[in-house]
Amino acid sequence: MKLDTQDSKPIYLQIQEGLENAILAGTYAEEMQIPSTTELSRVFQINPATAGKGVNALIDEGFCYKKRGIGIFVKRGAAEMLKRKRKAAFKEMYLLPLIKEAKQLEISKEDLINWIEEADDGED
Amino acid sequence: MERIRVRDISKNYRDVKALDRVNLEFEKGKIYGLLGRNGAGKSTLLKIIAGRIKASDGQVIYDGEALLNDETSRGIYFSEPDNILPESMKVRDFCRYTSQFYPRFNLEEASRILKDFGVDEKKRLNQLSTGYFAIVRSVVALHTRADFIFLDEPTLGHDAVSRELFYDEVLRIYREEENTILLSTHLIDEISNLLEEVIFIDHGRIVLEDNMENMMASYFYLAGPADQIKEIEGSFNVVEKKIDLGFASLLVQGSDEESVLPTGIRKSRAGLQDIFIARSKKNNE
Repeated sequence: MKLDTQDSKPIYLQIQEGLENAILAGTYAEEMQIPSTTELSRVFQINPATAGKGVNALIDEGFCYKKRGIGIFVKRGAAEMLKRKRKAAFKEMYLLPLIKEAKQLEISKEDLINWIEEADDGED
Repeated sequence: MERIRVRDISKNYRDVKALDRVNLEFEKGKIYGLLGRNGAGKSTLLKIIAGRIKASDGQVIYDGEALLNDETSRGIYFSEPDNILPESMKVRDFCRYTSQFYPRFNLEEASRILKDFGVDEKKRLNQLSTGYFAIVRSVVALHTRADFIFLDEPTLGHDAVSRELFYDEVLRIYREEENTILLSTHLIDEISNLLEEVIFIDHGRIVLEDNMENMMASYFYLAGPADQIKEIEGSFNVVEKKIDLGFASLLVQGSDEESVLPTGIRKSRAGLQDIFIARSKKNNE
């Protein structure tokens, strides 16, 4: 994870998303401990309150839980829940901007679909 | 000490108003940024809080007391760019001297940190370059571990590497002590990730004071073709507008809610420095 101070996203959100990505990737598997606020503050050179806000968001959204006096852990089923959350946001975050730009450039729907298929073939 | 209140502080130097009815509150357990241009009144304000000079008007209240006593004065440490110590004092003696007033000062630890910064403790204060003097006084200030540490231009003359090291040290001491550390500087963007609270001062007045997250969430840029910007600008609270070569950008104050923008207009986050410059300009209009 790397923070981007030029990013339009607030730092705490970048921390939250970075941890979410690590949970999705299995870096922090279910029932594994995630870095503490102190560690995040040290590594990313940010105010601990900012790091705490990112971590608390994960707890509030039910992906992680707190073990008193020990730390924050990944909940069972968190990766699946995260996938669902990201899928729900997919249209707004990726599809709508794509369609908006395509319209501006007068790219037809057929071309767009063909290009997606071509790009996907290239990925495999 | 838990709290410092600055109440209606003014300071006049002959007919110049260095501070004009400043009201602020500092709580224990936060990192503050006191940001302003040279001559804005940052140093004057800090000197008054530290009891170094008297205000022309107003009061500073330390935990409910209007004057610094033995106990509250040990709850404060103020580090300023001017050397007020004997010039021939060695770095090591400066540490020892300071540790006499601040019992939490750990000489061994401070010595180790100074070494990390490349400071030779046997040197006299007047043999240090501007950058090294700033490192020494700022590291010493942090290691007092006082409840309220006020650092005036802590990184003056530091190179990029030692500034990075210094910011790490600020955060480390803060995490260990949960005290209040105030950084007064004009290097605004560089310290923005360290801060929890931001205070902008300009021409002796507090222009803006807010929680960092709030501040960053309440300003943003809209940029695009000038014609398109013209159409939408009426529906935003515009702090600053720039037009050049047919492009326009607006610095907008307001909540960062998703609003439907015409194609071609891009929204982006404003930096602390951008907000500060725009607010200072507005203040001078």
